[in-house]
Formats: sequence, C-alpha cells, structure tokens
Amino acid sequence: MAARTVKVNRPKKLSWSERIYLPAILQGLRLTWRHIVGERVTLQYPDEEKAFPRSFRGVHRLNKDENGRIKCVACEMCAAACPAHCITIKAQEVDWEDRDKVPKIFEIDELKCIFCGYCVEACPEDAIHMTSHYRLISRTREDMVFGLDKLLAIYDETKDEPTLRGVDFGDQRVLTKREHGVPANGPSDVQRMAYPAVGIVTKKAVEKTSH
Amino acid sequence: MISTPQLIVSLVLGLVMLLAMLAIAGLYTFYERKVAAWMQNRYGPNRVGPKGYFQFMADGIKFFMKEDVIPAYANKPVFLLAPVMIMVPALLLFTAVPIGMPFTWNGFEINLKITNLDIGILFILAVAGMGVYGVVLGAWASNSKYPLFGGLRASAQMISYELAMGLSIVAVVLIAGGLSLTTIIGQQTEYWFGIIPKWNVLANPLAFLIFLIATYAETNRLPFDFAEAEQELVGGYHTEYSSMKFAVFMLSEYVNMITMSMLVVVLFFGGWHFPGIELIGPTWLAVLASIAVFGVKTAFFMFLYIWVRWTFPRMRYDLLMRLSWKVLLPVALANVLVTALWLAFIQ
Repeated sequence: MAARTVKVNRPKKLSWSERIYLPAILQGLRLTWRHIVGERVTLQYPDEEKAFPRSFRGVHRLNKDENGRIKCVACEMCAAACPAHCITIKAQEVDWEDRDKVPKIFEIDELKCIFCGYCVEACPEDAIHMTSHYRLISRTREDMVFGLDKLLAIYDETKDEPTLRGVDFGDQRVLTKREHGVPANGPSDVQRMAYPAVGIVTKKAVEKTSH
Repeated sequence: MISTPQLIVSLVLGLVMLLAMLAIAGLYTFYERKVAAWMQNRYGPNRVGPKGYFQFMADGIKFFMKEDVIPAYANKPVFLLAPVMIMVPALLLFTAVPIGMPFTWNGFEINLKITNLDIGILFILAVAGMGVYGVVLGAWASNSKYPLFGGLRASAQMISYELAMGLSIVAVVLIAGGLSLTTIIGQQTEYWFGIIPKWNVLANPLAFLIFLIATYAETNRLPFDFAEAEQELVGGYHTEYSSMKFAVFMLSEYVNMITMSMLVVVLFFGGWHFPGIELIGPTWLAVLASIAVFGVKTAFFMFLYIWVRWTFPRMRYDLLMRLSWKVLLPVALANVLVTALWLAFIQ
C-alpha cells in the first residue's frame, strides 16, 4: 500500500529579497519590538494573588447550621471516600431532636490530603466544604493535623466566602436512579443521567441554589 | 607637545571613563536581563533594590563570594592569564574614542578624548584583534572538551570577521581621508545641501551594514555566539572558570559591546555630532549636549545588541564561515572599490 503523501508547493529558488535576509530580519525585529512594548503576563506573587473560581479546592472547613451547631453527623462517608486516608473520625452520641451523632474527633491531616474534593462530594449533609485558602504554613507535622476546633474556626472565618460544595440540597432535583433508554438533550442531560448524585453545576444552577 | 589643560582633561577623562565603563557594563548586564524579559512578556529582575537595579551589585557580591575552582589538569599560568588577556584590550579600546565636541578654553584647544592618536582606527583594530587571544588561551588552558570546541570556533570566527570589519573601515577611512577618529568625526560634521549631515551611514550604508554584522561576530554575540553557545557547549570557552575570573570574562564581553557600539556611532553616525550643533556654538551647553547625544546614540546601539540577540537563532557554524568569506568579504571589497572610484572621479 502506498503511503499517503501530501505535495507541498515550494518555490525552487528564493527571491532576491529573501536571499539577502534583511527584510526578514527587520520583520523579526518588529515582532520582538511589539513584545517589548506589550504587556507582561507575570503575576507578581506576594503583591498580587490569583483570583480563584468558586470550585477551587483549598483547605477544608466543617459547616455549622443556622443554630450554630455542627452539621456533620459522623457518618464517615468522607473518610471512606478519601483516597489518601487522611480523615480520622470518632463519633459520640448526642440527644438532639434531629441528630443522634456528632463527631467527637474529626481530624484531617492536611499534609496527607491530596485536595481532590471527594470528601466534599461524598458528604450527604453538606457539612464539609473546601475553601479557597491555600497558604498552609506550620513548623511541625503535628500542627498540620487540623482538628474539630480548627476546622470549625475556618468556617467562622470564611462563612461568607464562596466555597466548593457537594450535593446541593434544597430545591435542586436529585436523581436516585439512572434513566435508561432516555435520549439525552445535550451535555447537561448526559451529566445528569450519568451522575445522579451530583447536581448540575451550571450558572443557572448555582444562582438557584446559592443562599 | 600636548598642552597642560589637554593633559589634565585627558587624565581625568581617562579615570572617569575607566570607572564608568565598568559601572555601565555592570548595568548593561542588568538591562540585558530586563530587555530580554520584556521581549518574552515577563518582567526581568525587579526585586533587588528599587525596580531591581541593584541586581548587578548582588551579582558582583556573589562573584566575590564564590569558590574559585581551577581544574587540576589546567595549565595554571595560562589559565590565570586568559581573563587578563581579554579584559585589558577591552578596556584599552575606548581610549581613542572622542566623546564630545572639542572646545577652546583660555585659548587652548581641548579635545574630549584620552589619547590623540593619529592612527586611531588602526590602533582600535589591532587591540580588538588581541581580544581573540583571551578567548583562545582560556579555551586551551582549560584542558577540557567544551572550552576547546568553543575556543576553536571562536578564534576562527573572530579572525574571519575582522577582515570584513577592517575592509568596511577602509571605506570609511577613504571617505574621511585620515585614520584618526577625530578626523573621521570631523568629516561627518559637514552637511549636504545645508541640512543633511554627512554621516557615513548615509554616505555608505553598505559599509555600515557590514561593520554592524562584523561587530556582532567580533564580540561573540548572537547570532554568532559560538564561543559560548550555551545550548551546545555548556559554557564554551568560559566553562571551567568560576567566580571572579568568570566575572572578568563576562564584564569584558559587555565592555567590548559598549566599545563596539561607540565605534559604530563614531564611524557611521557622526559621533557626538547632531544637526544643528553649530547653532549652539562652541559653548558649554554645546559640549554637554554633544556628550549627551553621543551617549544616547551609543545607548541605542547597545539596545540593538540585546534586541538582536533575543530575536534571532544562532547561525550554523559552516554557514557563519560561509557568510564571512563568501558574502561579506567580496561585498566589502567591492564596496571599497566603488568608494575609491567614486572619490577619485566624482569628488
């Protein structure tokens, strides 16, 4: 079988102005001049910081509900979903009207964490979010194991900031089973049918569910 | 005999220019990084000092503090001699260049130049030729393969392009009627039709082009930087040098660049002359203006060095030699012939 060939039309000889290279040289100089007077794309880091989208996966926080109580019910879905096994949970019994369990110990080792966001996706109570804070500094490894107090404190600091959220409860439709044989009307339909537990994150969806 | 005021002016100028050359070369390294960065859509060094201007001082301190390594099998005396052999000619070159308008003071005619050589251009060519020694000695004395390659290529390249450089200068000398740089500038202060200055770039643009290309090759700058071709030869002839000796190589390269820019300005762009200088007359203002104008013109050519370096790829070595021997040399010879005939029959 003959190989597929493409015929390229190249002139046999360079023209006179191409052979002395001077016009091409001037063209090249003009190009770099436009870069010299153009703008720089560098971000001057400590003075300027990049603005992250809402879905940026920074440090975790544990959410509180309207009454100031922790939302987490210590079901350990996040610990099970975590690929790095960095979440340690110990539950304790409580006697509230809507909850039986709250965590006694909830530790995330931020050094082991790979910031994948699976814990946020797995949580059924919308209790764990990821903020846009990324500058985690400490002098010892032990300091980077964030406990309940630290994770709740991060919530107090970042209450009003947009964060990465998991399943959105409220008036967003959540499908519990796949719809087989139903044709899709577009990419959002495909996403909705393939990932029934996850809400569609579109602009409209975000506006509808933002509180 | 040289008059006393001229002697004093020359000595002071010599000292000032020596220090100024080294300082400007340091600043030039900084500007090279800045302009290179701008061409690549980034900022250059801008953290050390205000806007990064102290970067070259930080580099200088770094060079002093580094460990001085001499390879065990290197030829030690020659190894130590090579940076000297390249720095001294570089610092000698600017002594023949006049930087401002000559003026009279109390009846003495004072030229703003350090030496009053009648053979100015010849002296410059000779001393620039000695700069090749530094490169070659450094390469051989290092006793290592990368410097060897760099040095061999560099020596062949520098010698070939000196021919083209010399021939283009011959054309200028023919027009000027003398070897001294003062004469060459003096000839360029006249005007055609009263308004267009007789700068050699307009009188003989081909010679200007040849000379410009030849100076890029002489100072081992891209597109002809085989001596140090970083992508191919690690460091070329200065691979094995560390700390201050390397700093001397680097500084001498930049001093050479500054001097070559000055030469281009003097030979082709009228030196310190600008049209309309006679209107101000031989006053202090004119002298200062002439020095400033010379500085601006030289600065433009120094910028051109950086601009060209970061725009073009390196030439292949055999094509580089072909350019010198088969293109520049015949063109330069033809240029000399045509200039000589023109001057003989038309002037």
